[in-house]
Amino acid sequence: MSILYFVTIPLLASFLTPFFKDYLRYISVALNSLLLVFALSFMGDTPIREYISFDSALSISFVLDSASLFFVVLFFLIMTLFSLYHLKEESRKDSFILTNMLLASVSGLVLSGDIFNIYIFFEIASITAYILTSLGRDKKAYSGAIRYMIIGSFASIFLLIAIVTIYLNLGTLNLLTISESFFTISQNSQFLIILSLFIGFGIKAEIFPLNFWVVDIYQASSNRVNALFSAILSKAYIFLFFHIAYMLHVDTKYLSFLAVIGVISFAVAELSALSSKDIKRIFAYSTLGQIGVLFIALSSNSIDVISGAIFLIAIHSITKLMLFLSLDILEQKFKSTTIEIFKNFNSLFLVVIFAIGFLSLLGLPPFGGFIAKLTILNGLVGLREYLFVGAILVISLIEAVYFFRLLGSTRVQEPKEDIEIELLPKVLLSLMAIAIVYFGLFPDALLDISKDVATTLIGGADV
Amino acid sequence: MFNLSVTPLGNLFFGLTLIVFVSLALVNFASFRGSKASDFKNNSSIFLYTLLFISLGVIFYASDLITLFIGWEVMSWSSYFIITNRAKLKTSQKYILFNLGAGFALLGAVVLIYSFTGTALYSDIAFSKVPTALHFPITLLLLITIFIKSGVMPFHHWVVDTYEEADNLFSSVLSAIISKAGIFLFILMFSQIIGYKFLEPMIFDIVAWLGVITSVIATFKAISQDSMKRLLAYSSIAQLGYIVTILSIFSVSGIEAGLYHTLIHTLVKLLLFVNVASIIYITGKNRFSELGGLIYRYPILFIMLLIGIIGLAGMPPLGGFNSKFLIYTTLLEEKKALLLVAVMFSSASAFLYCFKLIYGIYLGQSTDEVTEHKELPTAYYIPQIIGAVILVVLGLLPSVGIAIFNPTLISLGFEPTAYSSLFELNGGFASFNGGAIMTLFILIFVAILSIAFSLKNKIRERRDRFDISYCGETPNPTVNLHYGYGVGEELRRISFIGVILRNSSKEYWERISTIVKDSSTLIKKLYGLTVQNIALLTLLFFTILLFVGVK
Repeated sequence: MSILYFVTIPLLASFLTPFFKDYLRYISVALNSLLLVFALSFMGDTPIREYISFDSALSISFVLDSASLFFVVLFFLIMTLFSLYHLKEESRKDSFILTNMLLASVSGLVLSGDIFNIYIFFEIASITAYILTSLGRDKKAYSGAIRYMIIGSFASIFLLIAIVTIYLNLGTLNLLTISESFFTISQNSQFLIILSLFIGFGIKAEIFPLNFWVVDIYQASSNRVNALFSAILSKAYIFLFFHIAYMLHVDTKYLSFLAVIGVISFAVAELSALSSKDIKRIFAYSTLGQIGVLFIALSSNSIDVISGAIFLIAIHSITKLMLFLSLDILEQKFKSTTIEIFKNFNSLFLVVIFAIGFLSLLGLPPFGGFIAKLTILNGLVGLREYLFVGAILVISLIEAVYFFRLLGSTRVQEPKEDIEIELLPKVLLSLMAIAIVYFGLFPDALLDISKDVATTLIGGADV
Repeated sequence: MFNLSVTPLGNLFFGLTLIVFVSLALVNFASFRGSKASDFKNNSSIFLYTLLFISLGVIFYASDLITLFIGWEVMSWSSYFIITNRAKLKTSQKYILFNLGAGFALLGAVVLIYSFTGTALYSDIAFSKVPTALHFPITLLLLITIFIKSGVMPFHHWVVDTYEEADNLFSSVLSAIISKAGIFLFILMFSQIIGYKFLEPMIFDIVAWLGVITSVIATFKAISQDSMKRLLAYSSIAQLGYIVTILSIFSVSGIEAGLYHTLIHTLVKLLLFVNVASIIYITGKNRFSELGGLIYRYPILFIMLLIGIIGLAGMPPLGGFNSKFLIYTTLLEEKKALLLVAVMFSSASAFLYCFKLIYGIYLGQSTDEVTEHKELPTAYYIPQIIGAVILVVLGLLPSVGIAIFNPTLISLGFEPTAYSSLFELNGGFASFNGGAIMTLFILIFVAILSIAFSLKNKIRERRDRFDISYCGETPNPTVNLHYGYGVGEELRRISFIGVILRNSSKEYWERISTIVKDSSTLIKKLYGLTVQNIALLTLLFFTILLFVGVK
């Protein structure tokens, strides 16, 4: 069993779509879940390294360590849930080409061991994302896709600058080799590389002040696509961002800069969400806010805090998938996503789902988000970063304003419309909700894994 | 993950929770019986009440800080959903934001303590490991939590609206039990989490004064209210002010008095809120100016309210007197003369709103001609009777309370208080016999009653409530001359009190909210930029960083 299958099989499935149009939904689910099982079977056997060509400078290498394995498992899990969710739907078969391609590219991103390969998957993922955005097939969707493309190519340019500078200085593109000899480059070139990488990946990882494009794109895309963007795509880039940062042993002053940017990102996103009138935008802002928290935590260079961040990534991916899919049910009913629709639906099931999702995002017990927040705050106090602790707590209060306003409006006395939800979506949404509660009550297993991932992430180069 | 242990302090508070929840469950059960099984609100209410009950149990029996925090937050959000059943969106927002603020302050304190002492278990916390510079911030965070939950000024902003707009029965839970979680945390803070040794006495002088000032201001606010539930809400704030004051004295008698007042306040507010809920259920009205003269139709409710306000005002011969007595003796003993004067001032003024409560609803002229009455389910009497009976028993046997508190005092590391008999309450240098006082009062009461009955036929005929033949003021048909109408208006003319009544902390909190909203609309513009501008900004950002970083 080669780790290449995590990339090639989804890619193959995607290209075979035209031939198996009618069965592809089932094939896709089967393949995703099969690969999920394979990924789980790798647990404990990491790290694994695979090369495609053996020319040492330009070899294509794939690395499966406990960190990338965690993300591969997470992505395949989310994608399995996602395709199961759409199992019964006849419409839009072409979207399976794209979702499979997205899956192949994100697992390629986290598995790649050399920076040029990362660039290739970066491009595949971007192009897939542009097309996914345009799937709405109306004016809004197309203009959103074009904007996305312009910003995306900006990111590619900066990434390319970094890659070229690295290659000119070191003559290699293998991350491991770069990591070992990065300090030999002159100070100024080092800075240029780090800065270009920061801008390139920062745009994609949706960090302030490079994330002004995000919310419009989320609004232009459909909720299902947003679920994938929020749960999978942004997570892959964040992992990559910090994977490379720790591989290059960047200076602690850059890391503390990232933490400050994380705080600003969190504050700005939550403040903007406060007066937003559209639920899709609110969810997008909330994703940006969580990314801010992840930046604070991941740049701490401490295993305790980072394990909290990894826990948060897992919980947040499940939560956002659940929330966007639930919002999709509402949008299909009301044909709009303004906050007013929360006053007009009558479904105890959806209220409970939204309540669990929101409370978990706010970090309230007994939900998964609470454990993540507690671990992060605890670790930050251990590092004596009181200001960050205070900032996270105060900004969470702003976050609470709009989430509780949404929850409160579901209880307002207004004419309500019943909502019918089919069995399969209901079961899947309940499963995700149960997972969020379960990890809030019994976090130990996931915390252990997170700790393992955090150790690998920090010590990236030692593997 | 959940560390729970049974402690005397936990038993005490959980006992109060049980009294409140069991008696209200009976009422709710009775009122649910008539409704449809598929009723969305009722079904979710049962679940939420259960969750709230469990979370209170977790708070009171927790043996580590994390468990305490989990219970605390679950309490906040589960009660939020119950409040949204009836309250306006704005009010429930206010409730949850203040209470989440309290929760996050608590979380801050918890992670600070946990990180430095390496443990969250109360029994293992060695507070000396925390650097001295952090003692004050941790104390402050915990105090903010306590103040918000118990509604000590200036954090009381959420209390009144919430109590008024919540379900009538749920207001009694809020006032009787949920506010007591703050008191519980206060006791826990100086007995186990931080410990007396590490607390600045200065801070606690300030806390004591905050409590008293709260009670004085809230008392006057209560007097000037026209809504029954608002009056009770302000009264609740005032009473919790006393408890905070007396607990910050840190002596055996102080804690004893605090616990006693907690017990009394729980019973009294359960009784009063259910009583008011009954009146609102019957008449659908919440304003004194629209009520009056109900004694003729509901004598039992009248007697219950009478017992309630005697307890609330702290008059003999009922239980309320015991705790007031202990508060006064403790303050005298500790030579806190100014505090004593302030407490006495506030409790004396409390008579005014107590009287308003009973006069405005039950006495005076009847408004029957304009009101339709619904039949009250018998279950509404249960909580009131439970509260009244316990208040009477405590009045007769005041030292029963001491017997209940002694295990708690021992577990907190104090000497238990000795008492010679259950009839006798010993307050240090003074004591009284509950049995004797009760007998005396019953005799006087019987005497007055018999005189009243013998004079019954000689009392003048009843007059219309708009009849002001014995008034000195110019009549005006638009002015309601009912007693409950406009009481408290005259207080505004008194210089010191007028200032209190005219101002409120509302403006400050609303200013904060406006600032946040304004900055939100401003910052949001960033996310609506055109793609050209975003690209330009990105380039600009890159260039600036390049110039800063390149040497």
